[in-house]
Amino acid sequence: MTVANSEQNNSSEPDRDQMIDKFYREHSRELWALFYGMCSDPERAYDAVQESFLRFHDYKGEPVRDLRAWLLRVGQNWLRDVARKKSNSCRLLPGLDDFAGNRNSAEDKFALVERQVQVRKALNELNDDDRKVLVMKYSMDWSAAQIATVMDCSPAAIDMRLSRARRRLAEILVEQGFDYE
Amino acid sequence: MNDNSSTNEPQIKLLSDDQMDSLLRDFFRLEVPVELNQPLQLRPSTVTTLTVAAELEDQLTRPRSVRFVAVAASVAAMAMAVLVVISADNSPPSNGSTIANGLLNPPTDSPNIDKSMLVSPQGDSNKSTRTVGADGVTLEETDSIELHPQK
Repeated sequence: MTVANSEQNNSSEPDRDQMIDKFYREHSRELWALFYGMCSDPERAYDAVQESFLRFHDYKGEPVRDLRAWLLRVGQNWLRDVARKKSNSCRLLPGLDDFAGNRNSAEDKFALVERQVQVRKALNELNDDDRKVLVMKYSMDWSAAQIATVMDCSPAAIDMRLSRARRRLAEILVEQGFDYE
Repeated sequence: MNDNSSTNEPQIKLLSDDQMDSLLRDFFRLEVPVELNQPLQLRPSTVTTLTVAAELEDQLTRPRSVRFVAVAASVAAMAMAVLVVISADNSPPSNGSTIANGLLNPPTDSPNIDKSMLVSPQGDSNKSTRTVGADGVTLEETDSIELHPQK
């Protein structure tokens, strides 16, 4: 796992921007996945990533020893604040933009959107660890060994947890009347 | 594991592990924002400002076109009014429109006034032949009569 050292505050402004940009390219997806595991909202998780990087960009305090941990903490706090305010921002139906150039019929598009909503809802029903394991596995395509490093357990335990999380998710989907076809 | 419920309830067909694997891959392929693959925008407020400025500009141009139409309409109305006034001024006076013409055309020093004047400055010549009193004295003759106070 890459850890940012303490030189980012001593470097000049362009160098610092470059460093932040590089770190963003390397870690934004991982941070998004971790935030997504907390809120089950793709756009809110993305906002948390943006917010944490923006705050670091404007940060003038003590040198940051572990940038990834710092960004995670900032993003987590921001997500908590947002959840406390219960802000209901108006946004497009999830995934609609992705289907814009697709030649599928309107019914197909709607079915895809509906499926996204159902799976998201089912993911939200899982316990935190099961959801995090699934998010890391499928959004970042991480191996069990990589997930095990983050979750501080053995790869075998991760495999078992993955299998159990998938099964539990399938049960919830059936309870919701999910139609795979 | 507690399997007591499976004996009493009808068997529910769960998705297989492969189906769940495929479902989750498709789900997260759509779920991950495409913006994550783009470079970090450290100043999103700039974009917002530009968007707002563009919207403001759009809002400002729209009333301008509406104003142009309103001005054109009012100019056309004024031109129509001027045409009506000119045409009414040139038309010959008639019995029905005498009052209206009198209202529209204020008295001026034009020769028309002399033409339409009903009383001659020389007075009515016919009246001089009429007798004023029982003595048969005409109006002209009364001018030459000198009045003296009675003594």
